[in-house]
Amino acid sequence: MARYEIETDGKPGGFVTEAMEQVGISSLNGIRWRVVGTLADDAALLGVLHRMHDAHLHLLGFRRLDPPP
Amino acid sequence: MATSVPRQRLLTRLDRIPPGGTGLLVAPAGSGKSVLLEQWAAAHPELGSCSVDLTPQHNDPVALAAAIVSGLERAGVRVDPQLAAKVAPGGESLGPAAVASLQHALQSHEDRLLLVLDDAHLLRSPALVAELGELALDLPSLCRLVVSSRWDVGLPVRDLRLAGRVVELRAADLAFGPDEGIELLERVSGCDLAADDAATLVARTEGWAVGLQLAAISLRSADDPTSFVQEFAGTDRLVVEYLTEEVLARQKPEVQEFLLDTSVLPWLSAELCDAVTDLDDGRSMLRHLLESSLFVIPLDRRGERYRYHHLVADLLRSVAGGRDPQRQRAARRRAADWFVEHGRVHEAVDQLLASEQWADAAELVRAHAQDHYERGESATLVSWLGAIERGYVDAPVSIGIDLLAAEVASNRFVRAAETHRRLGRRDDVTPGQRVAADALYACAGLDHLPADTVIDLSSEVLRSLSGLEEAEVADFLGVGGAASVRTMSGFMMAIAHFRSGRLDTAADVLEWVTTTEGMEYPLWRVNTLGAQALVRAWQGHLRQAVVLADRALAAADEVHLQQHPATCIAHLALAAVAYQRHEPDQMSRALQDAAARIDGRGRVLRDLLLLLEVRRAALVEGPRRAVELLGDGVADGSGAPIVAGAVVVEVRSAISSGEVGAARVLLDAAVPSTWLAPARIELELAVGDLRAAEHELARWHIDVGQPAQIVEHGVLRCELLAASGDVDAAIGQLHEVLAVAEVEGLRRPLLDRRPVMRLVAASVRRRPDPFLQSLVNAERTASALNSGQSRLVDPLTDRELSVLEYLPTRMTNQEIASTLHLSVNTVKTHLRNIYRKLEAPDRDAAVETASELGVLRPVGG
Repeated sequence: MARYEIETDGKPGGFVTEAMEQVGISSLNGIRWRVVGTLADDAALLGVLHRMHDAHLHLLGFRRLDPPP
Repeated sequence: MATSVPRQRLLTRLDRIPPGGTGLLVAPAGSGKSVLLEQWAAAHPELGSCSVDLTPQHNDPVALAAAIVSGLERAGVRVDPQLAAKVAPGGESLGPAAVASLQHALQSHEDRLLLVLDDAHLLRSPALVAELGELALDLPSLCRLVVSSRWDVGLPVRDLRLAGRVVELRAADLAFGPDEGIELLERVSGCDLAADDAATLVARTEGWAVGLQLAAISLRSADDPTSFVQEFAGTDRLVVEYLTEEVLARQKPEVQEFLLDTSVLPWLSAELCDAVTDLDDGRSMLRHLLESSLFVIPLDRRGERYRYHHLVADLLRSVAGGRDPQRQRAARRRAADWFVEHGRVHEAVDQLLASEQWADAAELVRAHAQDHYERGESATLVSWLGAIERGYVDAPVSIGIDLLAAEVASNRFVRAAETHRRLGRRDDVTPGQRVAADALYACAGLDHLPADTVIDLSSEVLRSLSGLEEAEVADFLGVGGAASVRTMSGFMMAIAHFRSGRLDTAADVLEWVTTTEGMEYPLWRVNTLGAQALVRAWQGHLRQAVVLADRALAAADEVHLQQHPATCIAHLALAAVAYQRHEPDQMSRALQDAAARIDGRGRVLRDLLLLLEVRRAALVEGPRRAVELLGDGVADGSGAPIVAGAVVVEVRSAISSGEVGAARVLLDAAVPSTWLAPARIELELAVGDLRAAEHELARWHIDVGQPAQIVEHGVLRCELLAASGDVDAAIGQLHEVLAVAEVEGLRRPLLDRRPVMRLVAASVRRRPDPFLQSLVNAERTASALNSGQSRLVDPLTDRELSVLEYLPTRMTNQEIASTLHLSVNTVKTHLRNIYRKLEAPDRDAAVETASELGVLRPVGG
């Protein structure tokens, strides 16, 4: 498990974040949105990114917050 | 859908897909890809159409091949009915034989054809995608391919762009422009929108088709469209979630429940919906949804089957799961029951897995495992059983053993080893389960474990079996149990002995295996007979090897498993026989048959195939080409006969180039093995050190039960005697050798030694003899071929030689392609290479040059 941060241009809803735990969503300026949450691994991250893509959100960036094992 | 908006600008772009070209539609879900493709196909009724809606099931290449064949047949394309059978079961790709067959079918079709693959992002195997890429790069001019996907899947787009053979439509292209968006909004909503409101909606959704449709549906029941638009424009909520909830909230309660309950289904019919909702209004509901444009898409013309738009279904499921997970679970359970009742196992398992009903899923998979295994759908079994094992807390041991068996069957050896380790850590494994797991682990370890470890494991399994009641031994996939475990373990032990170079022991063990009860199962019978054939071929008992290989293939024929990977060993045995008998064309055919079945098989068999291909290349194209083909060589773990065989190829090449120092280095660096003895003797003969050659000959303890060794030893002794000046003794030795060689048709060891062949030629002149004459003839042909090839800067490959054979016959490219089971484009590529290498401008010149060089063989000769 690791914490990841994802930035998008829209507010992600449950459809996008349902695989994440301890989710926090905040807006940087009403335009950029930041999602922080815990995911099992990079594969789970890819699943979230696919869902964002399906939901027509544009990806602005993402990174892993916890150091790799 | 009646409310869809034709978008001429996009239709015109698709019209520009060139003959033999590819259209790529890459955009998120809900962008209108499928609708656009339907509109385009409808605008071109003159194009025969084969459309495959890809699903996760198609990651099993056997299932994908079946779907493509079915689609092509509906489009009137003549397809090899055995195409799906050519796919190596359990693998991760279609395999070269199936791809070639597909290409041939497309090349041979004489009408224009459109091949559509929808939802390509669901294909997760890079090997499968690579094969689609091959198809795209080699399409005939009458064919067009369109691939639709939510993201780039890894097709060779750059190559297609460079060749000018692709038209791409991406999200930005598919987005509705202002005018298109307004038209869609008005058609679906039935409202006359104010221009500002319409423009706001288009901007807020960025022209995204499903967003616009959801907005339009919401507008139908909005009291004040302008207020709705303002509220929508002002919300920061995810567009699609907001709108889905809006649309849902505006439906009658019974419609909402219907949408949420049936959202779990992969497709909808009245009967299925009634079963899931436990009501009887499925037909009227579906009609209502269709008439209201509520994202129901007809799947047939009769109005009996539908599906939801994928993204909308995802969203509805998400909403349903959030609101009442128990209700959703119950709906899935009812769906699974209906699917089981109607024989639709895949859909039933998917429902049970999605609702985490692990025990029921496991029971259903077990009940149908044998069918899937025998159809080659091991990849599907791995997917199902893996999901169950991961999700099922306290899963019974039997799940793990079934998973292990499926992983072995689909050649996922590393995963199988991990599964075995996990089982080993459990304390609830019975002795009967452990023995089954260990037998499967030995199968998995064939490539990864030292041969002696596999032998020890298999021996331990057989010992343990003797202490158990037959009924105690775990079944796996319906094909396990004590009988299978016994047979499999014997088989693995024999192969391990072969790897160690202990051919006699391997033969003895296999003979014992043929007496076990497990031989009644066709696949074990095919494997065992094939392995017997291989061992016999390696020993030089060539007649026996042919009989055994034929029996293996006949056993496969009886159960329609001619294309199964299990037959690979028999074809390798036939290739080994053909090599020893100096029959290059038979060898080539056997190697092609083996290669077509080897996809996904383990390292040992693949290295064996490589060694035999290299040996053939040495015969036909010369030792230098053989070494090139050897490349990085074979793995040490593939076993002494194979590893040493590869070293011998390199040593002979070095000797033939005069690089005796390099040859010696190779031999000194190699792991000591009796299989290298011939190469050591040849090296000493080459440098003229007869004493050293004598010494090596004396050190080589041959097995008198192996004709191949007897002949090889005898030939080298003959050469040594001749080199020592004792011609009479050499001739005497030669006759002893010939007496053994003729029985089995063992020509190779003689043909490899020119000094000995001079004695053979002299003998023929004195006393004509058919076998001797066949040796002389074979040497002449090989010599001419090699000599001719050696005069080319870039020698012709095996395949190019095969194509060259047909040039004097005046057959057309299409006819040559059909005969050799290649695509026309591939034949043209070979011809271009042939002309270049022979420096010939056309066919006639190529034939003339090839004849002068002596590289032109008669067809089938």
